Amino acid sequence: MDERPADAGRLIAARDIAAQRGGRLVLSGVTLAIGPGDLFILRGPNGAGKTTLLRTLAGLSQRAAGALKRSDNASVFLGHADGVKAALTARESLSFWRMIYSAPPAIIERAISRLNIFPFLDQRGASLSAGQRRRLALCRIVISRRPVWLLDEPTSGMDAVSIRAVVDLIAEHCRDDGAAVVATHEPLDFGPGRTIMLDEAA
Amino acid sequence: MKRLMAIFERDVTLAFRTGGGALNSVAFFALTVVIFALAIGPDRARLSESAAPILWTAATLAAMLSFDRILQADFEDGSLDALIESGDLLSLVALAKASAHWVSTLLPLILATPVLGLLLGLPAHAYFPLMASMVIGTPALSLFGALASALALSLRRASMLITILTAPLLTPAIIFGVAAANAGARGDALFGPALMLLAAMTLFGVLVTPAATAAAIRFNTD
Repeated sequence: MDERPADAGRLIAARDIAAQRGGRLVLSGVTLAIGPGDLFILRGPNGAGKTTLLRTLAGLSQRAAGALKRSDNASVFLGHADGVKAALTARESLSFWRMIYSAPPAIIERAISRLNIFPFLDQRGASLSAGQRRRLALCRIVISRRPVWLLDEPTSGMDAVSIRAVVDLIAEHCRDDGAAVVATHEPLDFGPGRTIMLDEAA
Repeated sequence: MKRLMAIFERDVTLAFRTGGGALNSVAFFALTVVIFALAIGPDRARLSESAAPILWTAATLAAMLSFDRILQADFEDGSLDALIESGDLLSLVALAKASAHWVSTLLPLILATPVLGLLLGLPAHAYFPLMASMVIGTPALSLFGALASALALSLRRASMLITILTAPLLTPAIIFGVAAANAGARGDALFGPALMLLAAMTLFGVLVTPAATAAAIRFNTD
């Protein structure tokens, strides 16, 4: 892990990274420095490597080449799967994640109100709709209090009101010196933010 | 530590909720014992001397069929990724999950053992050695089961494969477990050493499997 001056103050710095999915190279030459306040929108056709890039930035997937520097507990990742247990109520899921991230109780209240979880707080995961499960999954991201949010299609299955709430939440997080990398096919309007286009696997 | 307790508690809760399957394992265990008993026939002497091997084998089979629960659901619904990046050592997370499996699946089997022992005509003085061998030896089952389920993580419906993978690892537990139970029932001096061997297997599991399980999880979630 070499410290380069350009990466100082960065939460995650990726330099010329390449990554594989199922043994096939889907990404190469990606350089990305994520610091406080940064918002990146990741776009590209299916198979372009958006999820792979997010997993690599999260440290969940090994990169095939390049350098990746992450500060401790820099990021939290939300993939396609919601991580919502069918047999647990929304309330139980939230308090489990609060324990996992050692977060104060007040953070649950904030997550519940921002993502409008209250109407189904005592319902089990099995009875939630896809959009409701997605909102509950996003609560984990809020509860984590990690600076960099790595979100893969965060608004999938959501209605217009919820999408607006999620976009506002992400924008606000970035204004408060957080950062986010959001992979999406939706025309989400975050205001300021940089778009990264990923091409079909080279 | 608080986080590991949270993972342990959640896994135990899920195992006893709808679809969790902890009680199915008890039912499978009881059913296997009854089938064995029916197959052996009404000869009380043969039944009672086969009781320890039958109960140990049935418990191991029931455990094998439940191993894919340890990690598969978390892998499929994405919560395993979140546990990986939660910041705790992944090997400790694996240890917490194996412990939860023991408490939710094997402990109920051990608690059901006296009832089934009655059915098999297990002599009164044989209960304590049998239960002691199970309490000391079965944690190894959960630990090696967690490792096998991590190895088979990226394969769907892998419970048959997991069973095949764990069988050679778990037969020593059955051999020493039954040896301890029988020696104890006979009042044999081998009871102590056999229990020690079982304990050694469980301790070896505690030391070695969490790191191996963590490595297998990382490999399969990559």
